[in-house]
Amino acid sequence: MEIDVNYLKNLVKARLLAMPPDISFSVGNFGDYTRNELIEQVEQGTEIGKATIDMQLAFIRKMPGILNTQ
Amino acid sequence: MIVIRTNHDIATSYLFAFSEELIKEAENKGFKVARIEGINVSETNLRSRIKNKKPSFIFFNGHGSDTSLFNNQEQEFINVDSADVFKEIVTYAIACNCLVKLGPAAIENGGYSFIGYKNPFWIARDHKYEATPLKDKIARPIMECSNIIVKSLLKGNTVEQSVKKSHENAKESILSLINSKEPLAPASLQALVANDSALDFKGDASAKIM
Repeated sequence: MEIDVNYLKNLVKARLLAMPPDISFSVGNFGDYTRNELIEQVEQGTEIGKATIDMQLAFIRKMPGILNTQ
Repeated sequence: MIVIRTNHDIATSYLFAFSEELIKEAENKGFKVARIEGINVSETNLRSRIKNKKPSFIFFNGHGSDTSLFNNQEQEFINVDSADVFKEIVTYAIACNCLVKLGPAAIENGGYSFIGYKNPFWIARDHKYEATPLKDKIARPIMECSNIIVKSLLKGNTVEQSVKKSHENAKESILSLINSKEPLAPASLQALVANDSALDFKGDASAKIM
């Protein structure tokens, strides 16, 4: 099933927006990003934006399995 | 053992700070720890230390790519062409993506095992604690999941057991963070899940460092 890229972007942006603004992420040699900067990167479809989407998707996929063991 | 630590940006300053306890623990257990840090991180220095110290374990903290490890100037200092440097050694590299190609190259060149990450290594942090990483409760669970690998190896466990301990620790931390009322917990949670998914090893599962 093909997933709409815009849907994914909006999903990830919404998930990031749910976090407090004083959070930052250091992502290897991509650098350091505030929540809002990451949202911008997702919107622009940059390499770090795509890495952020991958990170969020990994989270969404893995969580049901983890919660089932709770 | 050889501990390599770059320290030139926020991410590497976090790795630097959180790895200090591992050096102390190793020394307490009788390991002779050779440090290669900051501007001294180079292939020449690493080869020289390996020749003199004949380490059983290399622990790298810094940036990387799928084919290389970076020095303090964010330039490659070890890559797939120089992966013979890992010969007959167990290596753990906290560096983005290096398990993808550098890990297999290390094993092809006689490395016993290579523990690393298949994707970028995420550190969620509270920017209030940028200058004092050890006080950062958001980053702590992420760094502890990584540190447990080294602690387990120092206790004499195998590579496979040590990676498994990290996965188990990640699962416990994840479940704790899910139920946490800390507003910044979701950031820790997501970074932890990402890193845990990316963690794996190549080479001999039964390799030990002592």
